[in-house]
Amino acid sequence: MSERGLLIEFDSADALQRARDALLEDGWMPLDAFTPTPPAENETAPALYPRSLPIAALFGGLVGGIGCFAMECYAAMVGYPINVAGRPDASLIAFVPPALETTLLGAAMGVVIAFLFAARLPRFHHPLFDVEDFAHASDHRYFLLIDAHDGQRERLHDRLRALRAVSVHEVRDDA
Amino acid sequence: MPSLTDAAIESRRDFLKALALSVGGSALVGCARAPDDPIIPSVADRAGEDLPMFYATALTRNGYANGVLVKTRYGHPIKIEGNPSHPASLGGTDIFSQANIFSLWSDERSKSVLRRGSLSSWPTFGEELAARLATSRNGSGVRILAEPSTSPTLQRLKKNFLARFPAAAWHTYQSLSRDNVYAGAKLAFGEALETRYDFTRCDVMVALDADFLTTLPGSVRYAHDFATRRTHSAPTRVYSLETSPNAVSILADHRRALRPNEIHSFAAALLDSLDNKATDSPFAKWRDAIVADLSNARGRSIVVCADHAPPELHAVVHTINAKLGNLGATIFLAEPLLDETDQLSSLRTLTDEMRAGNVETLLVIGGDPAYTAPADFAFAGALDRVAWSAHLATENDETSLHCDWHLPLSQELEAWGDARAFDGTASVQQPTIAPLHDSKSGIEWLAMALGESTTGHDLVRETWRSLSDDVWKNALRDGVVANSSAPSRQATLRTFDIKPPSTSATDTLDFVFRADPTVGDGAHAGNAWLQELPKPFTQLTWSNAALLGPETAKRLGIVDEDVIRLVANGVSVEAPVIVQDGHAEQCVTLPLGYGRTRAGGSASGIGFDAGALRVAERFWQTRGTVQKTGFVRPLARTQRHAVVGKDSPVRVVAGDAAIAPNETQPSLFAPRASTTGYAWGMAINLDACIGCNTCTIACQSENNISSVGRDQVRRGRAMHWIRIDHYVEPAAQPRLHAQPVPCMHCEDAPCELVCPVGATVHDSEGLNLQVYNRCVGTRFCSNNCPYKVRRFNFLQFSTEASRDSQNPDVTVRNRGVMEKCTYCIQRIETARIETDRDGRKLRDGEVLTACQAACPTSAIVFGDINDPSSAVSRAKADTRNYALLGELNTRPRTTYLAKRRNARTELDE
Amino acid sequence: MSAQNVIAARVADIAQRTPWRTRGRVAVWIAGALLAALIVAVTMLLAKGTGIWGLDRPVMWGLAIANYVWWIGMGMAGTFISAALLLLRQDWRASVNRFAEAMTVFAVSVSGLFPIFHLGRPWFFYWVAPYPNAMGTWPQWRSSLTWDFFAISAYLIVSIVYWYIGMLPDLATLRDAATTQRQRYFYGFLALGWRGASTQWRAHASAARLLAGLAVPLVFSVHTMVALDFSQGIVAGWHSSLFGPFFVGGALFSGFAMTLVLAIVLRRAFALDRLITDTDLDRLAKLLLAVGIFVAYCYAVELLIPFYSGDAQEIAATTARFDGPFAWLYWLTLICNVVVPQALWSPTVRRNRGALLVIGTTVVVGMWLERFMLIVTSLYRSYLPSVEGRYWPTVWDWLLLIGSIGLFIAMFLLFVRLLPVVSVYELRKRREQTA
Repeated sequence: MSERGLLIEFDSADALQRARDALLEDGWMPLDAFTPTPPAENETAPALYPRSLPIAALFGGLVGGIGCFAMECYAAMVGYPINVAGRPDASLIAFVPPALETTLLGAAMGVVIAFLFAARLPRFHHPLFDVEDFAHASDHRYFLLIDAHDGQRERLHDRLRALRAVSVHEVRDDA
Repeated sequence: MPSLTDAAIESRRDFLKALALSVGGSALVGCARAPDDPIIPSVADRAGEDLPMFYATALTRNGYANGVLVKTRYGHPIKIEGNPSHPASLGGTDIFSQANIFSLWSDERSKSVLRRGSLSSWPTFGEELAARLATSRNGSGVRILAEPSTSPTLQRLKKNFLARFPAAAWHTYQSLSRDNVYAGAKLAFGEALETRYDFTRCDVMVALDADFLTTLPGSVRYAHDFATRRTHSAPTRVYSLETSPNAVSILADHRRALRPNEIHSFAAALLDSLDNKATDSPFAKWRDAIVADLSNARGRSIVVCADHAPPELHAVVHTINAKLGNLGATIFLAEPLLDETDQLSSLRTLTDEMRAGNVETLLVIGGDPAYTAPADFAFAGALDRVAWSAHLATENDETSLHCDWHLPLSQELEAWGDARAFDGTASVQQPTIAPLHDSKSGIEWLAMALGESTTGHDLVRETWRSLSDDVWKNALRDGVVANSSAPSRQATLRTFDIKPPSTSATDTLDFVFRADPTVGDGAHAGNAWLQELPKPFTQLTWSNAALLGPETAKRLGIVDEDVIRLVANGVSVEAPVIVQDGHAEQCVTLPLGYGRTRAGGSASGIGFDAGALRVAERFWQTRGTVQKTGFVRPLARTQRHAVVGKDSPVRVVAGDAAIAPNETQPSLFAPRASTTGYAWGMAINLDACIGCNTCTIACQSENNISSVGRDQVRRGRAMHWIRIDHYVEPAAQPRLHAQPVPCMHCEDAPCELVCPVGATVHDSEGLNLQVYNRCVGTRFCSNNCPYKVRRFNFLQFSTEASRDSQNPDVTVRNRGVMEKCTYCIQRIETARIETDRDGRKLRDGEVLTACQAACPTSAIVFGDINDPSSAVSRAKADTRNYALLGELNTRPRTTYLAKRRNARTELDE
Repeated sequence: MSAQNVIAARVADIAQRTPWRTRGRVAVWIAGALLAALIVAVTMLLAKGTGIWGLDRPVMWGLAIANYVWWIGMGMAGTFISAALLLLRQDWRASVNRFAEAMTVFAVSVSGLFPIFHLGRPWFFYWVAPYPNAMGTWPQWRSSLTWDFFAISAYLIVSIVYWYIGMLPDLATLRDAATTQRQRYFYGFLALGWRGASTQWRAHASAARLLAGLAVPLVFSVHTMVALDFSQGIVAGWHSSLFGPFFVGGALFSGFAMTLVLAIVLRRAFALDRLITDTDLDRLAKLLLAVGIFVAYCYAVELLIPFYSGDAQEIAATTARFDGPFAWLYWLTLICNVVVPQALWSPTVRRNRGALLVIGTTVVVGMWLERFMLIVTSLYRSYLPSVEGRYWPTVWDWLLLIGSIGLFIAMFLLFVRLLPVVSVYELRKRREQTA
């Protein structure tokens, strides 16, 4: 996804919503929205969610659980087989609890890693951060990035005023 | 030609030798050095091999010898074992022998010659002594006070001394005297005689407050014989009539608590009944039962009373035994073995002279008369009136304080000597190490007084000069001088008046003085192993306590740990109380040996001094009053709860009845395949255990177990790996049980299951191992041990100071790790190395655990349970075999054989 | 300024600008003093050994383990409130979830110290972990302590991650509200470059929901493991299959009580009346009551089982709780955990913050007593009548408990001063929806 474009600032979620729909109709390509609160429910249709997270959870869980269980079996039956309390070396039932914990841990780690990938984090430098007003994106302003360049700003001016935009900023790739 | 490596080893040896010499030469205290004169190990010399050596010698208790083998390692005596060829041991030992190792290496021993408290030397002392003796005109004003002894060498030197200084006098005193034994014999037979018993041929035993299993001279042997007799199929019957429970009470078929005077009357009633003189007696039912049993066992019975019993009672008992035909059958008389038969008079004479100022020079050999003498003698005060006095003792104690000179006395393990056992058998005591400090033995000191500069070895050899060199060497090797036992002899019974014991005022209680079970009359007070050894029944450590019967305590409103004021003979003493089940009512037992003021660091100022109430006229028993003070003194006891009901861990069967086996319980897992090699197991015969604690202290010595001190014991942190649980089964006459509890080495050990790091696991031979290095100290294993045999090093209990006495084959545990009984794995491994070298299997009995080896009654059997012919397998096949808490399915390797009780039903009603 | 702004500003103020007032300073001093006690207690412990505590044979576990269970139990509620309520779409969680999660992280961290310091040789605690080593040794997989080590480790990691991921948008808010360069760097680093992009929000929501879904079974399993630390043993009084749910219930109970206490204290201290409303407290109180009833039920079942099984040892262990030397502990536990919480049936009480504070504190104390009671009354006597001990904690035991409270308060104060105490973006969302 391109990181260049024009960043349009709104002061409410509704304004952002309306502007996005209108601009899309006008043929502009909205790239992304930046909001202080999560997008409204109707925008969070399941299809829009990254699929990688549940898959990573499954994968992480399997790695954690099977890996731990295999390690326990190896340790107790091959690596260090020793008579403990008269129980068999393969006390499989007793190996389940640690494997259960590592399953959950592995799944959680999978989710975290997949989340960082999906959210493209960490990223401490981003062209958006060069826009001074963008600091309000975490507070009370709502931003829409559209695929446009500075030269097109004039063309949009009136339309944006109608859409109650607060201001427009240019976002450039780091030179 | 030696290889380069050999040469290197040679040179290193030389270096070490030189180092050893330089260290020895510098007279550093605490460095082990071999004795100067030749000593003979009990097995062929294996010089050059780094193996433990065993030396036969004898250790004395109240003058009588107990044969022992001293195990040395790198020249350090580290363990005492019984000497199987010695008649007083037959392989068994007692707590005092075992504890000798601690006494030897104790840091609280006196180390240097002191003259009025300041450092001096033996030569200075020698000059002063010689000068005094020279000016004394044949020894007038010269007195020697020694403890009673059976030593031929001491008696020879004593004779020499008195010949050389005819005006001098020799006095003897020891507070646990046998005066009454001799006086009783004098009453019965007209002469002082020694009594000894043969329990192997005895069917009925009547103990009149007599703990013949742990207190009489020869008690180790008696315990052995007693237990041997019980293994025979024909049942025995044991009666114990006692003021307070003792070792006999545990295995007695019937026991009954009586006051001392009641015991006396009871004996008189027995005698009357045997004479068919029917008298009224409050104990008629018991009397008739006992008389019936005794009459059926003429010549096969023993009636026995204690050393401390009044002479009249001794005489009555002699008469009963004579009437039953026991004299010459189970009871034998012999000439007195001790060199003094009336010590109390001896001390009285000396004290009177001292007070009159007639004593100018006093030499005290051993003992602590300033502490142990009867209170009315005021011995310490009299001692201050002696112009010049010297005390030879292992500790700078109460007597040393009042003497001009204090001289360090050698311990028995570092000096030459000799002594006789209860049956007269003589042993030569050979040292196993050169004196650790600047000390001399009693005989060396006496030789010094005589102006001789002979070594201890030569003094003893001189006594036994009739022995050829070969016989002498054999005597050293075997620990006994062949054919030296005293012959038994006949004596004719005289008639004497049986004085009925005086009846007493009702507002007073009987005060009974007894040797403390672990510190005796205070002689062992400095020994931390003995201090920390739980006293039988009360499980008290590091103190004594006045023992009271439950009814009496209830009447006086006293509970455990209350402090009472005891008033008798114009003196009062404050003492903490333990209310003891099975103790006679209207009667207080006062153990001696505590309340010492100069017994060494940890032993001073603990407990109370019962001796302060003790006067010569009423030496073993007096009367007095008791008041509650309202104060409480906490006591360090290792067991709180003793009363058991039907689910008692100690099972008792009638006669030879079998015990119901545990149901086999279902398990989720198939049991692990059994192994074909050795499978170690243990069986403990509760029908032989007398609760004497020897196993506990032997284990402590063998396994480097720390003493933790009074406060830690109070917190429940005693470290003994094998403990003896004592139980009381409530009944009209409570029944008492003792149960040694080591690690059970469970096949399905609960402790192993819960250890997160696998620090406790099983080996292929069934040992439940504790891997100290791996232990992180979660302590879950202890929580999960239903037997609670695991011990935790809560603090750094082991100290550098105890290093010299430690067994190098056993790891010393640091703080933070769990430890427990290992079945003496180091002994198993040592034996395995031996047999591997010979390419053979271990024979049954080749590995003895420390507890097993020490046990005088062979109650503990250990061995290979895969071998059906081993002693332990046979024991486990017994119908009396049961697993402790077997219902938990832990499948313990240590099992128990139930106690047998051969009761007369009419006495249980 | 919009309504949203007010929340953000208030939260940012607490974290970034409000100077310590007298009360705050007092809190810091108290935490510091308690922390010093902890340092002294731990130093002494490491120098001398666990013998400075009142432990004995047979009571080899004491205060330290009670503290451990207590702390980890309180941690559970944080995760539960946050995760379960998220999954159940209970929006009111927004006012309490953040500090509840923080409470979890801190309580679990504090609790983790106890099993370590409780060891005879704490410096070897890592031997419980599987790692390649020269000796070829491994942990002993059949021990519930090993299981618990895995459980606590997993729980600590997951709860930190869950807390942190949830906090990302708010950290970005603080970053953007930062007034100094130091703050910008600090929050900028922690926010990882969060931009509030819709893709990020979607990934965030997905991660939050998945982590919540994992956290709920995790906390249940963790507390079952904690229960197994006891019930795996054959100790009469511990050896019961009830212990799993019993401990989970107990953990929730103490955790809700602690959340309630913290909510009331925070609300008062930082004037968060509009963020943590009376209705929120009322709901928490109802939850507390519900779990309390479950815990009371467990107490009843715990009594029933020994008598139902007929096992003489279990019956003896149970009756010894009623009238043994530690009976007072048992009855006090019942009063705190069963009797007192019944007051929550009354709506008046649930609306009275003072009463809630008292009840919450009573339950927190009561649950500590319960753990102590379960440990000591089960251990002080054993299968053999000869084995009986008395345990009473020494000053060093108490210092460690007090010190751990200090550590918790210190961590919480740091949290309050540095991080967003309530979930700003969720509250905003809640306001948006209600608006």
